[in-house]
Amino acid sequence: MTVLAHSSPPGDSQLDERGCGIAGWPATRLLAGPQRSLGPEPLELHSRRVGQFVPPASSEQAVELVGASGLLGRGGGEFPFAEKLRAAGAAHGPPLVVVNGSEGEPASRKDRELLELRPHLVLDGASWASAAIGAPQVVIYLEAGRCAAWQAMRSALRERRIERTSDPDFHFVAAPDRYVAGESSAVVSVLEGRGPLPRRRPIPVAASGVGGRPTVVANTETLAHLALIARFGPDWFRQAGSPRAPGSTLVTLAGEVVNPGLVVEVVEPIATHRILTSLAGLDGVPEAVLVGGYGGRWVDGPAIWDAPLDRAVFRAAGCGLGCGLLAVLPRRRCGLAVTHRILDYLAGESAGQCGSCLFGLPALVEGLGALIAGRSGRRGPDRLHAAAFELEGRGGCGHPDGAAGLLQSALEVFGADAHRHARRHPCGRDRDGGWFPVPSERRRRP
Amino acid sequence: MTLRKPVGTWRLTFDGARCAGHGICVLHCPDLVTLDEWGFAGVDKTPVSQRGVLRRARRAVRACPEGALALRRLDSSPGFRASTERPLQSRVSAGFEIAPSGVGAE
Repeated sequence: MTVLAHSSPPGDSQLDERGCGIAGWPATRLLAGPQRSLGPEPLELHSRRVGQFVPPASSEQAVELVGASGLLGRGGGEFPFAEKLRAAGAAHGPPLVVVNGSEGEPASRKDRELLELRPHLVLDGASWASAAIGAPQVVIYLEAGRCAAWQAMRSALRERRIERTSDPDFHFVAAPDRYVAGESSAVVSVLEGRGPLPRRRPIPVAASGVGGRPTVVANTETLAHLALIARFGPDWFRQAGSPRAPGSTLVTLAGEVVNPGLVVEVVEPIATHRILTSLAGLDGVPEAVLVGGYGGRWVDGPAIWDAPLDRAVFRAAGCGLGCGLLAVLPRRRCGLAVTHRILDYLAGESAGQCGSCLFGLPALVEGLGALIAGRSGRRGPDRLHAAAFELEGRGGCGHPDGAAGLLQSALEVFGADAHRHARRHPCGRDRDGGWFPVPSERRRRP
Repeated sequence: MTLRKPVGTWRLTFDGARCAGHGICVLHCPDLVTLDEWGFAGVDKTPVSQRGVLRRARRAVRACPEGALALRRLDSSPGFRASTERPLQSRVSAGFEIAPSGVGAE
């Protein structure tokens, strides 16, 4: 994709006042406040900007408030947050709140952005949630390598120790640097002293998590929203977004864009192309866009171009926004090669618990590799699609389903390329280009 | 004709992390269980209410040495669960552990 230079500052772009913005824009909500370059917002400024922290009156009132706002979890699962609070409140044992700052998605930057720039917003949300369910402790779960985020959180807590005496006890726990480490059951598994082992659990972790204690694992973006809902109320929250997916949403731009890794806050569901042209710098419809993270789906560029950037619309279309990643495929790059690279990474990130994932994912990677090299035969694409379909639902967590879904969507969106490859004609596209980061081999499990 | 009590609606659930690929389940209940290329099980998650299928599914649940399968009742009351909370194997191995140490103590 040819890319326009980002000539005008974001404020002068074609976007309207409340459409969307990046850190420091007045129209935004989570990212409102000081410019990105000024680093973490100090407590004093934060309190002056959003007002004093008010703990919830009672547990019931808190659940009601969150329920009225319609806040959905922003880690990718889109689970109603009020349900988590209700489940934790109804279960036995001292509850626990976990600030889930482990952003396993290699291309996503939104959690990091919030932790580094608006630590007090996240901590306010965590503090409010813990007060709502009566949790004496809050765990801040962060990858050890995220130095800036750790530092921002540490200094934020130092500031709060003096002024916010009502805060719960905050504990830091280092998250393993793995793709699956942010899944809520994997978080519980790490806090219990085992490795990051995600599992489908018969009882949700909100009812019975760490050592049987009710555990509310909340994404940082969810908590930041919660802090603002507690301040300004559910009606204000619902003014942004759409009725079925209320609130603003953070989106990370990746792939062939002028500023990969840029986190954009979408306040109103404006058309996707307006963000792709004015903030990502595209000058035409891309061939395809990867939506919702590496376990997400490829979508045809023309299909996404005019769609409103709204969680409900994307969910209904079968390509949920998930962690909010929009990765644009470069015009000259082979989508199957990109998928192969991502799929290889995902296969290596399997927790190795289930045979179908441990053997199935590498088999898909090998199959796709053979297809790209023209060794798969004419029926190759169909066989690969069927193999991916077979894998779905077999694993003990959602990891293989995400990887299989990615491959299926790639075979559908790049169907013509796949058949060209299968007939031993190279597709004539580049093997690299665009920003699709994959952590190096060294960091992965042996 | 005698009227038989309805069996209720159930779902066969499967924990992929426990499955070790013994493949016994598929011998008992081929209606709901399939094996993948590597011999690991996968189950059909649609609700079941036919008596015969349920009987075979129960046999599969009981036969699984890893406790990876369970039947859960969907309409009311907690269902037939062979071993969802504790795997069968840990109970067996716990039994084995006691015997040698007891012998050694004597």
